[in-house]
Amino acid sequence: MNPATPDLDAWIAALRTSALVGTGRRPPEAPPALLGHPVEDGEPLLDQAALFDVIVRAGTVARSAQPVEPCPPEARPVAPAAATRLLSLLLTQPPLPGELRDELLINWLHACAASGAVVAPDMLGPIFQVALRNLEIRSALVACWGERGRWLAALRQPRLARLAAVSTDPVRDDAHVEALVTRWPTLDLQAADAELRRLRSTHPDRARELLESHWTKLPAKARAQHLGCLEVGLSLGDEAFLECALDDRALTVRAAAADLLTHLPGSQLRERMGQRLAPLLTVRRRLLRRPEITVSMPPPPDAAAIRDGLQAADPKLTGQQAGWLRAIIAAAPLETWTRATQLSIDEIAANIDDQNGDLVSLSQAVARAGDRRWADALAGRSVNADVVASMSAEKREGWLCRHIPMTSVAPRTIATALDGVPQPWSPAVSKAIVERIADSEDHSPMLTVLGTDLYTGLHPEAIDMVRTLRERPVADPDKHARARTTLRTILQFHTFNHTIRDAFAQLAEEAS
Amino acid sequence: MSRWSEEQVLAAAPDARSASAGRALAVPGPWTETGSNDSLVWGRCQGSGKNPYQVSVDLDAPAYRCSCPSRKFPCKHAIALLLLWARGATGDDQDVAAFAADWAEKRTAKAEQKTREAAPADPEARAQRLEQRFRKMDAGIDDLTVWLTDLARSGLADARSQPYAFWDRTAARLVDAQLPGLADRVRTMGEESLRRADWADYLLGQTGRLWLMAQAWRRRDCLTDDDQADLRAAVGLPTPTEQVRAGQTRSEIWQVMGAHRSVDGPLQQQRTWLRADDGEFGLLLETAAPGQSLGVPQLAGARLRATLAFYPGNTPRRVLFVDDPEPMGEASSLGEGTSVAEALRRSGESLAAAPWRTRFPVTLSNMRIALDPAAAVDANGDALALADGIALDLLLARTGGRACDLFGELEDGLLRVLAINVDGSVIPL
Repeated sequence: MNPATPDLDAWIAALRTSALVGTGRRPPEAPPALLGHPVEDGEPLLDQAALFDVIVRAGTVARSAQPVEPCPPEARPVAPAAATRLLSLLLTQPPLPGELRDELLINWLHACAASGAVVAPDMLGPIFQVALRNLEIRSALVACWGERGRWLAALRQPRLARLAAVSTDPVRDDAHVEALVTRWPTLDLQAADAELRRLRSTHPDRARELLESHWTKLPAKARAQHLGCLEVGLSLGDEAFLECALDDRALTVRAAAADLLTHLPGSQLRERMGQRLAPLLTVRRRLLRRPEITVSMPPPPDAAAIRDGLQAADPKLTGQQAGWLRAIIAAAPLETWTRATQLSIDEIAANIDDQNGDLVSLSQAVARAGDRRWADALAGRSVNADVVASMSAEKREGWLCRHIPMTSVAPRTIATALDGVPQPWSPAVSKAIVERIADSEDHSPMLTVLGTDLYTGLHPEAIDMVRTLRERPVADPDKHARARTTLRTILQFHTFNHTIRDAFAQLAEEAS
Repeated sequence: MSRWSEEQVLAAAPDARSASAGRALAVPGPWTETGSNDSLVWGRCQGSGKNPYQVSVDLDAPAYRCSCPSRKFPCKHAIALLLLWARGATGDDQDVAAFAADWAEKRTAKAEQKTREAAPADPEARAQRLEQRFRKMDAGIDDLTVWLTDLARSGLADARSQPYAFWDRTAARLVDAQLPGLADRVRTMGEESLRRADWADYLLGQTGRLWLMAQAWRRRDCLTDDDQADLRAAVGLPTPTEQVRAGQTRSEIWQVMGAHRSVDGPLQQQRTWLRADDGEFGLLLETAAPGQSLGVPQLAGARLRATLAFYPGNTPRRVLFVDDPEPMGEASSLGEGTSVAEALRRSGESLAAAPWRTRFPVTLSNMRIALDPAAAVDANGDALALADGIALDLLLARTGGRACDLFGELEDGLLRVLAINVDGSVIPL
């Protein structure tokens, strides 16, 4: 409507009032002359209402608006149509439920990124919804969402864009660092945490200094959480700061500091733990017989030990001694053992007692240190699932192939052992797993304990075996119904994965 | 009958859930005895029950039948069967399955009976019936005039505080007077007056529009034939299709500019805008009651060779297909477009001929998208706000925020985008 017609505006205002309260109480005024003459036998208010309706609609004028900045041009090709159809299928009617669907999505995104392609624009909206709730999908998406995805997320899903920026872009130049340092105190806890981790990955000292400079002003919860960020790029440079944090007012902060220091090779805390361990180790050498290693119980912790993270003695609790010993063994440097006993690594590994928990504690220390020599030395001792990931490939293969088929080995142990093993597992290990699954009865935890690793970890060479085992007749089908379903799901998962790889095959070839 | 595309089949699904369920079922596994001929597709689908469901589709109507208990129409089995057929994956057995043949026969018999019943016994009787209907309608209009005058006297604020029955009673009387078009408007007024923030202006405008229609009806003899035809359609007096077929037709290549499906209570409506290359528009308007199905969906960008018959009225006129349209490939452009100011001017102008029309087809050139609030902006910076329910993410993702031509409906000053032209291809939105 043209605002430069006061007559018209005044008439419309008067008409509105009459219409609202009714002509019984307020008869309408005559319309301005420029609208022509009213009909004689009409009803004045209704005639004018009709006029109003047409004038308002016919007089609609455009408003002005600023269009969004267009997206920068895309240099990479869009994913092939066949691949996009698969993605659409995964998003709208997944062939497999829940976590497995997410795994397939991640595989799709990795394949897309590897082939140098980007997600088709049509798919961006739907995949944003999934990426918002799943970190792994988010990081995989960012690698192949292309200019269009980055642009659309910034416009429509600022939260996703923020999360994505946090998880990927490393802080490179100094200006970037300074901007982050200035902004950091204004961020909320989660965002500050994410930004600190990001800075830590490229500028570890700068990140620690940033935290130190705000340390005294932060509440305990923030201190404890941000201290955890130092696990990224932890080094001896952090030790002085962490030692101070051991004297913090808050228990959670002290615990976080102690935990980091026990993970820091060469730290004084580890040395101190070593000093606590050494006197507890005794060896009885016997002629023509294996040496006997005894680990004694530690005395109640003094103030210094409590500062290092050991729990203070409490008469109401039982079994505290074993807890202290576990904590001391886990944190002490492995060299303490050889130094204190004057035995070789192999001798210690072969002779340590596995009845009273010493072997378990030592295994945990080895797993924590990730020491291959110790891990290999322990490979021959009964069940030390914790250290499997640290073993050399050969020892690991041997351990897994020996233990997986043993029904006396608990499924949970197998899951722990496989936890740190790089995927896909070797063909032999994969086949052993498939056989164990096929033989499992419905109530066996073996069928569920591996979670999605069962599907993502299997080597493609084991898939034929899945097919064979699924088709073989079983003596008691009622007891193996879930095993068969699991085998079928494995097949579906791998078939779909195969289809994804095929869909990108040509592009991937060109890219490489 | 030409084979449908997969997209057409999916567009025929009543909702997204049926479409995806249909897609999941469109694998050979559960199907037996599938086959098709020129007008029928049939097959049996093993569901959860003991006996497979018998599914038949009459492609001409189109009409669907399935022995499953689903109340969706067409159900997922029919969608799946059509998808298989669209991919050429149904059997090539020419012998129609017994259950499909049975159904087709019954349908034909029913249709013939309907034609016999519909055939005018004699023109005199028909004229008499029409005369009777007009008398009824005249009385209804008089009734509405009184109601509107009362409304004006007691005020719109008072009307808004009335229970829904106040509007519904009046609407029911209008239905009895064979004025369903007016009845719909009255019901909508009752609903919208409680929902809208600008209810006062809305009620004022709608009251004025009803009054205008009532007055126009009383003076209809002064109107041109086209104006009269528009008015008849607006109050709800349909023009019989055989009369339309016998009237003006045009054989041409028509481009599908855009289509929109909406659900209004129990009714489904499908609007398809067609345009000849010289700029003439036709609106294919289909409505389906529960248990009925809409026509074969035509997707934006398709070019069709077809003969259209025009309903009487002002342009753009409503049309129907006289014969089956023949696909002639895909369009690479939306044709000549205008600026926002020009589109508003033209829609304003067409109000002069039919002031109760609310929807105008517009093709706009070089449009970009603005956000908060969502709008389409032309090269001059003039903007039209986008209607609710537009897939804004999709629109942005596809255009990348760059200028493109688009086609849509202009309704109450809002633009409903139905198709866009990106990189030389026309895509429905």
